[in-house]
Amino acid sequence: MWKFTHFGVLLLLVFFCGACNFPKDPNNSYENAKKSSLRVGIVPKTDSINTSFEKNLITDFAEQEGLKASFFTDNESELVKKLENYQLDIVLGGFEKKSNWKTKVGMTKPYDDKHVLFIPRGENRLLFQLEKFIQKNKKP
Amino acid sequence: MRTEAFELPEDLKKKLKKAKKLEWITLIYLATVVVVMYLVMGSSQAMKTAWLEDALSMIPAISFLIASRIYNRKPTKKFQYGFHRVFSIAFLTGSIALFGMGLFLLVDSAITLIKAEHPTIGTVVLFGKQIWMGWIMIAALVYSSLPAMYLGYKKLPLAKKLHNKILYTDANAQKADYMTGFAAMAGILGLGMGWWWADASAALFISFSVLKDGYTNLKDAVEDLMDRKPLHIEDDKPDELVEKVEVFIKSWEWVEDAKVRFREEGQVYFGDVQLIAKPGTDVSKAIEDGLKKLQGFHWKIYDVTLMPVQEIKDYFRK
Repeated sequence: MWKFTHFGVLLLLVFFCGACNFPKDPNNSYENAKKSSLRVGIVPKTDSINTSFEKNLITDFAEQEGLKASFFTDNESELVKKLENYQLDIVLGGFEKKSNWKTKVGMTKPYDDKHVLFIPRGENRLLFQLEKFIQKNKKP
Repeated sequence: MRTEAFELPEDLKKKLKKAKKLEWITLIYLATVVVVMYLVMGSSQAMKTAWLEDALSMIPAISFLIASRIYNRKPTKKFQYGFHRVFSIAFLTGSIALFGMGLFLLVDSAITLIKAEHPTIGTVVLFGKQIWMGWIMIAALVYSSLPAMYLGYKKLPLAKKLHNKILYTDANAQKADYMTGFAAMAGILGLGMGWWWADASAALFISFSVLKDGYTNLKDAVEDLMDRKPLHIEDDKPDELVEKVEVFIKSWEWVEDAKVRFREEGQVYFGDVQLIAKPGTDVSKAIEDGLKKLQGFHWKIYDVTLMPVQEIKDYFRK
């Protein structure tokens, strides 16, 4: 029983210290984006309706959050590799939620009924902010 | 030797009925837990582990309910010792499942930790508010552990009275369920703090506990089926009832000396007795009377064979 209370107190401490800015990014993507810039990768695609919507979405997002967005264009696998190494914060490419990349990247919830944005895995603060924004600016 | 269907004493029948009711409640409750946990688990390894553990903890309840319909059937031509062992079989099955799943979870969690996978946990909108899924997971974990603990506490005394291992294991595991719940919560909170490893570490901890339970139960179940001497279920000490039977038989006036040996068959004990009858006894009649006396001795002493011998042999080498 003693162990039990011990553990409970510890849990509560963690709770009160951390609850204010939960969740955090293990690799501080969001904080770093604030300090320098939000690094966004874009896949050039022939069908670019989604990509251009996504680009506008992120530009608006950056503006609202007071971030400077810098865009990089490259092919898909190169961008995903950079995302995996935390050299990018977001990758846009009209990806669907069942994309083959899903084991390598983190995904936001869809901004329409199936298209998502890629983020580095586990960057939950960035994801939180992005999803908050996407929720308000869903594609009609 | 008995041929009629097994019946518990009146007061224990009530306890068994209550235990059955509690196991039904457990089963329904666990079914809702499994659904809730599945819906919220996302990519958290700790949640996945806790979810599988909850799903597994339905097995003892199910095996208890099935076994308790079968155990007291009348012996048949094919099964002339009755169906008492159905509890032991159910117990073995449950423990193998637990042990196997424990191994799987341990390996799975270790791989997740080694690969340094960062779990991505998104958000949901509830009542117009953006909420981190982690909080929802913690709420689900509270739902999965507090009622379970309560059920465990309710079932434990019944299991001891009924000498029923599945019920005991089930109750004990549920009573300790807060450990799983808290470990998983700690994992999720750690994740929220930005420690990606907290989740998989919590999962590792949970799988250890599953594996440990599985191992202990498996060992117990196998030993049971190997006809080990009867033990108390709560502390694994030899049941003094066996000695009492020996003393009881030795107290009969026509018995010069006796030695007993018993094994567990589910909730009850089967055994045999070597005895030396005093000269001049009508042995067949004395044995008939003795068997009747033993049937009223204790409900657990269920089926006994009395063997008149000239010299008592040891059942084991000293």
